This record gives sequence, structure tokens and C-alpha cells, in this order.
Amino acid sequence: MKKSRQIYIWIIIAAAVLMALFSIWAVRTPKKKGVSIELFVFKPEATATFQSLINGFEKQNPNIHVELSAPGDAYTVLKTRMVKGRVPDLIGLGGEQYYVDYAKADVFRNLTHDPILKQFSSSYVANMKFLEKSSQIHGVPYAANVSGVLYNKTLFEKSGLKIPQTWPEFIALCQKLKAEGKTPLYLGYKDDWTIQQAFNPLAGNLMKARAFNITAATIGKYDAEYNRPLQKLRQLGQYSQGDVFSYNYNDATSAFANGKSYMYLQGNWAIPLIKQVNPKINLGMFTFPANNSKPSKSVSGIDIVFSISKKTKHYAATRKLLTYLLAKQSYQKYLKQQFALSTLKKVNTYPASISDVVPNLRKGRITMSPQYMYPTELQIPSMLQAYLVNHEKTKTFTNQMNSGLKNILGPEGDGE
Amino acid sequence: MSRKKIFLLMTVPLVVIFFLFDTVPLLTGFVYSLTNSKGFGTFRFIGLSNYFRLFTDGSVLSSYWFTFKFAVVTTVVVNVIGILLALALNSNVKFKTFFRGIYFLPYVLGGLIVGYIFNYIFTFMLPSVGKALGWVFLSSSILGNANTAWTGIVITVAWQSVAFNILIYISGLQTIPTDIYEAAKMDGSSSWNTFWTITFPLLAPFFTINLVVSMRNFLMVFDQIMSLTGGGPASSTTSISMLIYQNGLSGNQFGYQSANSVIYFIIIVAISVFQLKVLNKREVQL
Amino acid sequence: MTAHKTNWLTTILVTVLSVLILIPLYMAIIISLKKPSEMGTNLANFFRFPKILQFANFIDAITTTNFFQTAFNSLVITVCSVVVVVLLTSIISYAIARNMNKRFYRWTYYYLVSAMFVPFSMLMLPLVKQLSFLRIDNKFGLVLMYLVFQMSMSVLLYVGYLKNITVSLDEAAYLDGANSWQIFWKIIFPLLKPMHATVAILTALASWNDLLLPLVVLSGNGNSAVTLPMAQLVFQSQFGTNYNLAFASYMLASLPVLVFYLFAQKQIISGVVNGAVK
Repeated sequence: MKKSRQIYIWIIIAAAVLMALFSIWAVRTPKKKGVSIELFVFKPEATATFQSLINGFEKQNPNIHVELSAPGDAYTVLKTRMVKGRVPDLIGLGGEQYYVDYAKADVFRNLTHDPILKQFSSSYVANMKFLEKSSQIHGVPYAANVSGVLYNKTLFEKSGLKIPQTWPEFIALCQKLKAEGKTPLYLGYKDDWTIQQAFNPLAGNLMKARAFNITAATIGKYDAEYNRPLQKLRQLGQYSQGDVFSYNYNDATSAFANGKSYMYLQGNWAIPLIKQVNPKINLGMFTFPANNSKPSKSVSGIDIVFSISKKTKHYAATRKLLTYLLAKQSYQKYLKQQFALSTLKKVNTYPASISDVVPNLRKGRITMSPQYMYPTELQIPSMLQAYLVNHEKTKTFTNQMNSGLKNILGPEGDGE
Repeated sequence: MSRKKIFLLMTVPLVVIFFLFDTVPLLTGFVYSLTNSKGFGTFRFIGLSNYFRLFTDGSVLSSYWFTFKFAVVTTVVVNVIGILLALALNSNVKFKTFFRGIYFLPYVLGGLIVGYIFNYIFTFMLPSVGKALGWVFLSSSILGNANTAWTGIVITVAWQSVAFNILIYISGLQTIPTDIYEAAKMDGSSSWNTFWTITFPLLAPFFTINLVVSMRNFLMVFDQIMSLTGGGPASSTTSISMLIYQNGLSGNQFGYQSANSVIYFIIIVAISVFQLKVLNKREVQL
Repeated sequence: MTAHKTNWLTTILVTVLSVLILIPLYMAIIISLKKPSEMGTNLANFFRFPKILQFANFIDAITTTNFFQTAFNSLVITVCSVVVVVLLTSIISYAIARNMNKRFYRWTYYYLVSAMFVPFSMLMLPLVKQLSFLRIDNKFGLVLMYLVFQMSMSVLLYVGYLKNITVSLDEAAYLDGANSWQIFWKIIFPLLKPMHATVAILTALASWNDLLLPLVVLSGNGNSAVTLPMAQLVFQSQFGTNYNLAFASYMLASLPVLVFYLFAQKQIISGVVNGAVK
């Protein structure tokens, strides 16, 4: 009896060791011949699009295998990859401070003098420089986004509503709908980043552009500028479904998709999700009318920046993949499926659903998303949420922002 | 081999592994707390200034306030309900094993999943109940209000973790010999008296472990908050673990939040040691 | 004899209270069986059982999370962790419990148990760096991590339980000429069975449901190293609006641990009864 029990235990131990060895083997053995590279993107919602592009690429280049990583919580995962020293070969990040942080940490290849940038329209190349606050560029502005007011065309036509051009017109429209017992806006402020979709056009239009050149020397200099956008931001809450901090981005998106509100403050990136919930929806997008009398600018930013890892062992293959992603056919596939905007000179078609903002885009009446200019550590979305939830004064908000900036930009921070 | 050597052989390899993969990273983390590291790239040593900054940082202080409030309230709730239900489930109820199974169910589910379920209940179901009954306080989601969101988290976490406390208390009750009760009954002691003079004192060691383990788990709460509120609204439900994770990793304040972790670690150890000291003393007296 | 009379009042009370446990679970189950269009916002809708059960949700959940592959990965990790934790921590606990009078073992005990209070987020980045330096940022490394992180709790439980197993058993065996190693495997290890069940379920729960550690340790190892909770992140992004699909997947993921618990339940209770806390 006792002997058999002992044998049994040794079998378990042996099995455990074997399984552990097996897992090492399984992970370390490359599956395919040829070169294997990794494409990392911060947009899990675009997984299907990128996978189909990769399939096309692999068909053309049978000896290159591409592994796609599009994890949730991409920024944490990417950070651990940096720490591991196993940086993905091609990395797609949002055109925001996260990208700049890595560019500054010298993780990406310097592309400033790379001919690949020549095919992009010059304004987006300039945007990259503005974003990095330097003359060096470490990524290509693959696609652009535009945010504004998404609206349900069917509902607008039914009620005979016109697109508002100014803030008073917008408020009048909202008041009219509210009086009729309808919901003008659906706000999903539980996810604090969605507040930026209202804050961006307000700040971008109502504040001086200089205010977003955030350095240690300018802390507190533009506090007064925040008055108007923050007041209007608060006013918007009146025209929502109510209880705005209970619903997140997903809840708000599906509510708008199902016709529960007339308008929705989001960018083109929300359109695929909206169409997934309700494929039949007839929607449009107009510029957020932030100004009281003059026409407002549209908010547009760089949706995704592709950078090549400095340490890649397969530069040629990575380069080939990037070129493939920029080839006309694959590029247009991405634009079409993600409702994104072109940054290339040779492609200048726009998705039909954003037609009302196209005149602004063509004439370059755009403002860069202010959200991309604040340091990551500041967590501006969370501060905006606190401003609304706690009914703070503008002064409280700016004081908090300034003390945060002092810590980040001051001698103990980066000391930029 | 001598007895001594075998015992050493059983202990040392594992302690070495533990040192390498728990203590070494802990010490590395401590070193980072003296820097301005973002978690990647270059960094500088800045002495203790991260530590000084902690005590003036509003978001850090408010997360400590929330975490302690949450941990204390939930520990009390879970232990009171735990004792009562354990007493009930240890008495002569029908389908005893079945009910024990039911009450343990929530513990088996992952914290994130439980959070998602309750998020749905708080956001969509309870408000509709509130509206149907005309109760104002329920007609909007309690998670959407900075003053009430923390109670939603207490409810969710208590719902899930009370199972563990019931389990421990049932175990405790089974160690109490039944003849003590018989004797008490012969003496004409009321059941209220019996509880306070016999049951509760004999449960004391189990009470201690429950208090220490619950408090420690609740001070480190993470998963349920992640899926319920993400720390909002207005950071009112950001626990210390969440703050360290969010700001330290996604938010690039790695060095600073490492300093926060060090302080936090010291506080949790201090609380636990205090609890054990006080409770053990009481146990002895009884 | 009062011992055999059923206490009906308490039975009713326990039944009523168990509804509080069951309602959320019932909700989760019916949501996983509904169509998105059946969700509705009025009260009756929430509790109404769907007319046609949408088992298609489960099939969709299986395909979107690549269930069989990812659940297999999770299973391998969980089983390995449970085996490693139970075998190794019971050995060290035995050595500690039998030598508590020696300073070295006493301090080892306090050292291991006090690590229970270290916030994980502080360890995360240094740990990831170390694992990748040693080239074990894979499933093997992950299992090693569960061993390390479960060690505090397991040692606490095992040592507590071992104090109840009388030393005279050991002494008798020593007189028969056995050594400590043989005594452990032949006598002590089988006696620890209830505590094995408890440690096993705690380890299984911790590794099966864990998201953070696999996310940071396994990232970069390709699709063959995605665990079930990692795959379920799609319900926060691509499929974020479809509660029905997400809940179907959550129910599916909870099933294996539930079955495991039901099998081990009796052992667990007696494990805790006999000295979890002493």
C-alpha cells in the first residue's frame, strides 16, 4: 500500500517537471521558418482589420511571419515589454504623450530624414514635430482622427433639425429637444477619457494655442484661459441623459447606436463600434460649435503613429511590413474599416459619415487635440472628472493642475 | 544524512527561490523609490523627495482615506454576517451541505467577473427598481455618485468574500464540543448569554485570523474596483493598490508610486502586527 | 434530544438569505442566455427568463476568446501551480513546523508569512525584468511566480495544521529507522490531505482567475501564451457593448473551478476545521 502511494507521488512530481519543461520548449521553439516579426498596436478594437492586413502581407512574403499583439491595457503591457528588453518590431501608438515618452527614451528609430515621411502631407509631419516638441521625428503619422458631434441623421430629419453652427444655436437645439422630453446628448463620463471629447473642441477653440505649449516656464500663466471652456463643459451636462457618471463609453455608445440620444460627442473611432451595435444606423458628424459667433475649428489628431524599434533584428522585414501597410490598397482598407482619415498626399477620400466636417478638414481649419499636449503623469481626464463631479471652481482646477505640473516638470521630475 | 541536514534541505532551496523572486524585486522597488524613474528609459536618484511629496499629494491622501474606510467597514460587515451565518449553518438546519455550497459559490468566481456582474446590477437593474418603487436614493446608480460609490464596492466585495469568513467560523464552531452547550443549558443560561460567555470566547482564535486576513485582503482591494468603477467618480474609489498600478505603471510615476508602495507595505504590516498583538492578548485573558 | 430536531426557523432564514447570493448569479446566467435586444430597461425585463435560450452566445464566446486553446493554457498553468505549490510548500512547512523551537526556522516562518503584505504592483516591473533576464518570462516563470506568491498563505495554513499532528508519530518512525524525508512522504503527507485540498483550491482560484500577472509575464510570447482572462479582455474593447456575450464567457470560465470546488468541498471544510488557525 505504502509503496504504491509513494510511486504515485513520484509520478506526480515527474509529470509536473515534464509539464514545466514542455512549456519552456513550447514557448521557445519558433513555429515557422524564416523571419518572425511582431506588430504591436494599442487599438484592440482594430484587431480584425490588422489581422486581415497581416494575412495579405504574409501571402506576399511567405518567409516573413508577423505576430500581432493588440492587448487590452496596451500601455502597461508595452511598458513591461520595454522593461523586458523585448520590444516589438513595429509599434503603433496613439499620437499622444505616451508616444512622446517612448520617443524620448530612445526606444524608436529616428525617422527624421527618412524618405518614407515624404509621402505624408506636410501638415501631419509638422504635427509630429509639434507633438514631440523637437525637430526629430520617431514615427510615421499613419492615420488621422477627427472628433466632433456624431448625430443620428434619421432622428434629425424626423424632427426637422438643422446642424447648429454656433454655440447659441447648439444650446437652443439642445433646449428644444429637452423641452420635448428627448435626450440631446448621451454622455458616458464614467470613463473619464470621454470627457475629453467635450473638452478638446472647447479648449481647442476657446483657448490660445500658446496655452498648450506646456513647459516649466509657463505654469500658471494661462489659468484665466480655462474659464470659458470649463464653464461650457459644465453646461453640457444639463442636456444629457442624466446620471452621467454611471455610464461608461460602451454604455453610451450602444445607447446612441440604439437611437436613445440625438447626438454623441465622440470621434470617428467610435463609428465601428456603433455600427456593430446597430448596422442600420444612419449617422453623421459635424464640427462641435464651440464659438459663440464665428465658425469653429474641427479637432483632429494623429490616430496612430507607427514606429520602428531601434533594437529590431529584422529591420528589412519590419520596413517591408510598414511599406505594405502604406500601400494604397491596404491603406484604404484600414481607412474604410476604421473610418479613419488619410494622412497621405496621394489618398484624400473621406468616409461618407463624416461629410459635414470635411470642408474644415480640406481647408485645414483644424485644431490639434489639446489632450495630447498634457504630460501623461498629470492625468488630465481624471482632473476634469473631479471638476465636474465636485462642482469645483476653475481656480481649484487650475491650482491642482499647476501643482501637478510643478512636480512633473520641476527639478524632481524630468527637469525638461 | 542527519535529521538536521534533511530539514535544511527541505527549507533552504525554497527560501532561496523566495528570496530571489520576492525579496530581490522588493529591494529593487525600494531602490526605484529613490529615483524619478518612469519605469523605462533613464532616471536620476532624487533622494527621499518622493517620500516627502507623498504627504502633500491630495490624490495619495484621498486614496488612503478611501482604502481605510472601505477596509474597516467591509471587515466589520463581513465578520458580523459571517458569524451569524456560520451559527445558522451550524445549527440543525435542513440541507446543511447544500446551503454551505450555495454560500460558498461567490468565492469561486473571479473578482473581476463579480465586479462586472454587480456593475450591471448597480448601473441598470437597481435604478429601474428604484424608479418602479419611487425611491429617489435608488433611482440613479450608486456607483455614479462620488458620495455613495464606495458603498457599492463594500456590498460587492462583502458579497464575494463573506464565504471565506463563514467557512472559517463554521470550522471554529465545529471545534467546540457539544457537551459544553448541554452543560450551559442545564445551568439555565439563555442562548444570548451562551453565545457571549461560551461560543464567542472559544471562537476567538478564528475571529483573529478572520480579522487579520480580511483586513489585509481589503486593504489590497483591486480587481472588484477595476471592474466596478475604475476608481471613479472623481477618484473617490481609487484604492491604494489601484493608484499604484494606474499612476505607477500606465501613468509613468513608477519611482514615485514605488515610494508609495513602501509606505503602504509598512502600514499594512504595522496594522496586522497590531491586530495580532491586541487580539492574542485578549485570547489569553479569556 | 435537541441535536436531531430540525430548526425550521433558521432554515427559513437561511433560505431567504441565500436568495441574496442567488439573485446576482441568476441575473448573470439569464443575461448570458439573452439576445442584446431582450435586455430592456424596465424591471420585469431584468428577471424575465428569455423565451428562446440563446446558446449561440456560448458558441460565440467560445470562438471570440478562442476558448479551447486559452482555457487549455490556463488549465496547464493552474494544474502545474497547484501541484508545485502543494508539494513544495507542504515540505517546507513540515520542516518549519517540526523545528519551531529553533531560531532559524522561526525566523524563516515569519519571513515567508510577512511577505503576504507586499503590494504586488511594487514588485511587478522589477520582477518582469528579472524573469526576462533569466529567460523565464513564460509559463514556467508564471508557475514559479504562483509558487512564490502562494507560499505565504500556504505555509501559514500548513504550519497551523501540522501543529495538530502529534510529534509522537514522527518519534515512533524515527525509532523504526526512518529518516525525516521518508516520514514526511509516508506518514505526514497523507495526513495533510484536508489541508492539501484547501491550499489547492486557494491556489487554483488565484491562478485560474488571475489577469495581471499573466498579462505582464506572458506578453510577447505570441498567441500560444494567452490565458482565458487575458482573452476575455476583448469584452472591454471590441465586444464591449455586448453584455450577453461577455457574461456567457464569464459563466463558461467559472465552470471548471466550480466543479473543482464541489469535488473538494468536504475536504476543504475539514481542512479548515482541523487547525487552519492554530
